[in-house]
Amino acid sequence: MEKTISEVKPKVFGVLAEFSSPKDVYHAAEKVRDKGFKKWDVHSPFPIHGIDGAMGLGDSRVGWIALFAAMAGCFGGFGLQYWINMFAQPVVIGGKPLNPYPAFVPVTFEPGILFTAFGCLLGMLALNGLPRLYHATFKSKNFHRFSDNGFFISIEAKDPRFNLNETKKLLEDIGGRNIEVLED
Amino acid sequence: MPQDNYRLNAKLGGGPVFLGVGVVGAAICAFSFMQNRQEFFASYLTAFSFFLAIALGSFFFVFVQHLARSAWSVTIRRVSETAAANLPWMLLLFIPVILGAKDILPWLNPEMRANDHLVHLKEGYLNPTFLWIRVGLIFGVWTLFSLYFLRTSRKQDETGNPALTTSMGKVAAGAAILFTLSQTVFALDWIMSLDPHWFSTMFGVYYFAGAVVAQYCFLILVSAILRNKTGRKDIFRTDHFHDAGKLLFGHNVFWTYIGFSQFFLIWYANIPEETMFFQHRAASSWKVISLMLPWCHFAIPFLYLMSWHVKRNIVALSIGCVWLLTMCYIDIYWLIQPNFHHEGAHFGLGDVGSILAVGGFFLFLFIRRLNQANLIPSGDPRLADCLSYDNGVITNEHD
Repeated sequence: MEKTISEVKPKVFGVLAEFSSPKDVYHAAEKVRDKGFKKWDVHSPFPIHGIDGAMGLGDSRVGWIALFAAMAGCFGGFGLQYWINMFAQPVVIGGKPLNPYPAFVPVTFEPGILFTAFGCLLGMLALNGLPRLYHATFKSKNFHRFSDNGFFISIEAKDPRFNLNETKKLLEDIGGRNIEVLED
Repeated sequence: MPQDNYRLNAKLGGGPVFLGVGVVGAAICAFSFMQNRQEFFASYLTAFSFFLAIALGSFFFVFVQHLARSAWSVTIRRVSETAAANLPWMLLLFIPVILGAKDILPWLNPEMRANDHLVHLKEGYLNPTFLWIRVGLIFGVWTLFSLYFLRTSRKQDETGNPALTTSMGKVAAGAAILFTLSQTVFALDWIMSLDPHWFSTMFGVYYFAGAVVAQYCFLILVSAILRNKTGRKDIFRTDHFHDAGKLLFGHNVFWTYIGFSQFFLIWYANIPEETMFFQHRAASSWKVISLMLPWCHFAIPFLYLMSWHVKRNIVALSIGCVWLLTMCYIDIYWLIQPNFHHEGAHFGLGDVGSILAVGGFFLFLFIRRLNQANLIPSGDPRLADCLSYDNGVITNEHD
């Protein structure tokens, strides 16, 4: 017999702990990083200077996406004009040769910039897993304070080092309060 | 309050060597002068304009830092202040150009001004009386401002008075306006008017853009040497090099933008008085240099300096700076020399001698001045911000 939705046992998403100041959450993040966790996050109402280092985040890959998008834009823009002027519709304009490449520079440049902007924005959204309509933290009673005065660390169950009891204890040891188990 | 921990007494060596290089260069110049007067003056003007570009760019850097109230650049600002303070000495090095003015500026010949229609129309600007007034004015402006910034900043080393920073910020606003005008006047009078028929409204900016690129290269190289020499990685920090590298990258793109815009509009409009500038540079070996500039001055450094790994690696960044500094010289060579050698590029003894002479004296005077006082503006109220400055890159470096 198939289970109804209410009968499905909720899966544990992870553990959430609250910290009282940016300083506390910063040092707690360093300890979580040193334990070797990978699937976890810090939530704060404002950017904390240097938190990326404290979390052990690497170099963002958005730059590479932007680079390839820029090259696609430049080659695409130049190629389009070259193909039109040389093959599709050769027209002599202003007595210039059929391949007046200085004239192609502005239009080579513009798609380069446009594609770079797209690459940056869409690449950033894709790497962040955005947009999304649901996240397990939405169920938390405390979590709404992340946009006001709350500083949180969440460690996901997907992390290979995750162990419900040990992780809860870790968060307690490093100064976390209001420890909650989040269900998906 | 003067901070003793930031009094750097390490002296930069090499002064006497550069003085010797200058003297040897001057001897080669004298030999070249006797062989071909005009060729020598053209070579000398090239070398002079190149080193003047470094001094002018440094002046620009100093007042922009004051205008922007920037903290990041405090420790490296002394290098630029000192290089800018070479501007009064540049007047001394300008004497050979003054003596050779009749050989290199064709419009100083009254016959040309009377008979050549275009030059006749420009006579309101291109006449000897006004030329020498302009020379006096621009060198006067440069001397006053560059010495003011160096002296005030040095005084602050002693007193630590924050009011001096405020007054330097105010003077910087005036310096910005007068600098822009005076460097444009130099570029027009001594580089553009070598070909008095030519029209371009972007020439002043073009020389400026190149000068700022040369300045950043010079600043980064000297700061790298100072970092090595003093061993103070906490003062000449990787973050500072990274940011100077970013500005170098940005200004190099700006140079490209100006250079291309100047070429593009002239090429497209195809008006004879404008296109002949590029006509001289589109044939023979000048064509090689004309094509070299977009590739070696822009494309290669653009790709090379793009990654922050290069900008944070002092050796890699310095290699890029040596490369770009060479390109800045070639750029100025390409502006000046085709007016004298239509048949093709001709890098001769006069060019070597002029680089050695002007460069040797320039660096000798620079090092001498730099060694006279503290290597960094230790009394600057923004020094603490500069030393703790973090440009937000996550690395495993610890300096």
